[in-house]
Amino acid sequence: MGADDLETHGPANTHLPTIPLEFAKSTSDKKESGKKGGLLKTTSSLVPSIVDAIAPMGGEVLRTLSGISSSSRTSERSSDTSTSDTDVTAVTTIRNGNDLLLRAKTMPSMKCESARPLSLCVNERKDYQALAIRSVQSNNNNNNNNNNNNNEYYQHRVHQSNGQYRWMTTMATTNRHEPGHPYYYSPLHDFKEQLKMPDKVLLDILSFTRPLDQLYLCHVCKQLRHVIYHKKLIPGLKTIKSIQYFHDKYRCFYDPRMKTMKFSLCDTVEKHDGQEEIGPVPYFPNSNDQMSLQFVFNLGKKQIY
Amino acid sequence: MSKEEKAANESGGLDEEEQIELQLKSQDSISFPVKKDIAMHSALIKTIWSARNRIIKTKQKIACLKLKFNETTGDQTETEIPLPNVRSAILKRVISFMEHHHESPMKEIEKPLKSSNMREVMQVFLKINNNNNQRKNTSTNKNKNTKGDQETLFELILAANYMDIKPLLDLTCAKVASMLKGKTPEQIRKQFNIANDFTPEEEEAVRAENKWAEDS
Repeated sequence: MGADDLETHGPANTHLPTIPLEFAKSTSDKKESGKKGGLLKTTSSLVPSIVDAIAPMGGEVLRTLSGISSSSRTSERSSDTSTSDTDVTAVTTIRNGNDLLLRAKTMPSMKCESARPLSLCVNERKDYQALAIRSVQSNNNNNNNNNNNNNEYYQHRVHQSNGQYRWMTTMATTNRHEPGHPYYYSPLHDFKEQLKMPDKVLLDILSFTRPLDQLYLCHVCKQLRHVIYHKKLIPGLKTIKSIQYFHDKYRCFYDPRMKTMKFSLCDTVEKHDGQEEIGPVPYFPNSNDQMSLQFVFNLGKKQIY
Repeated sequence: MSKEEKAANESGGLDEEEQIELQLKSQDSISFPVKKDIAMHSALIKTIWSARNRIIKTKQKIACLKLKFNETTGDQTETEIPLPNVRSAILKRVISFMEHHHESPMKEIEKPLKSSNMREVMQVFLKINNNNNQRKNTSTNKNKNTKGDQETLFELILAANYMDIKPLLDLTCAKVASMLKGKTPEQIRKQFNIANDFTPEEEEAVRAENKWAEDS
């Protein structure tokens, strides 16, 4: 799965106010000029070291946007809109051979004036650099579901019936019954309980099936679909959505033959408190409405999350 | 009373208690005598029994009656456990299962199932059922039997869930899961007599949702 495959599917639409991003055409990689996807502009002093760390890995050059202060943001945006007619993006990681790249994909202009830009936060530690994909919005009067001015957004890919997909931007939430949660699964309208079994028993039965088998069981009837996706008692269900999520975000790691994610480059997820977990796990640092999607990947001695 | 005597009495009491026969009363008012230690495989029965014992002991204390435990257990009403949600035919099978696995505890079934062939796993259980029911295996009755078996299987699941017998619940659920494995949604609907309640648009939406798994 290469970069070109991803480019053929362009982002088409968004549901919620999307995140305007500053783009700047790459100065170092002129091959990118004229392409739909832009490269994120670097603004932090930390960023060059990240770029230096990743750029030699070949393929394309990574540019990250990080640590933008609110004062500098306005001026940057105004200057950027003059250079780019796109202001919404999806950030995709692309693996090209042994290279891991972060790439911005642009969307048709959908301005949200009060939105703050999506930022790739850069942290620097002793032996590795870290990137956190996070989006931050503030002062959005039109979309104030709560008083928190730091609502976060993330983007994920939604398949359409025509075989294409579109990028959907949703407000991040820790409530999995809301569209902003990575494990959210849209409900259908009311259904009749055909299977005269308590949900607990149905879940017991489903626990003996593989997560990917459960995807097909969703097609059987509404009740089964409801139990599979809305009760969420089986750990495997998390796996389904994790696979889907990572499949969408990090498609490059998806092994179509095994229908599993292959994380040859990413073995460890390190939480902020220093605990380590094996395997890629969505990380929700805050228990309230804020959410950061942070993933740690080992890149040799480097880690990016 | 010395400590040794006390301990001996206690152990003697326990032995006697283990030999108690409980009367499991089914929905259709048929009672099945089951040894107490076998019946204790059901968490429901265990709870009922321990609660009943507590009540008896409390009553004894209150009344200051020095009745021996045997005297109370001799009463039919004290050993009877009503199971109003379980038919006698199903209860019979449940008891067979408990008796069999009392001597040889069931191994945990692996999750998820690696094979859809549950024959080996179910072998013991099927043998018990065959002995008890002497099912006919004629080809003419095969379809009827299959449907009947399926109904029985679901009733067993419900009974195991109600009586809280985890090994039986696992076994029966695994059996159903094996019946689901490798089948198309249409085949599953047909097998379990489930109506397709999706509208064409919803069906398409569900298919689109899961497309990521198919097109990769």
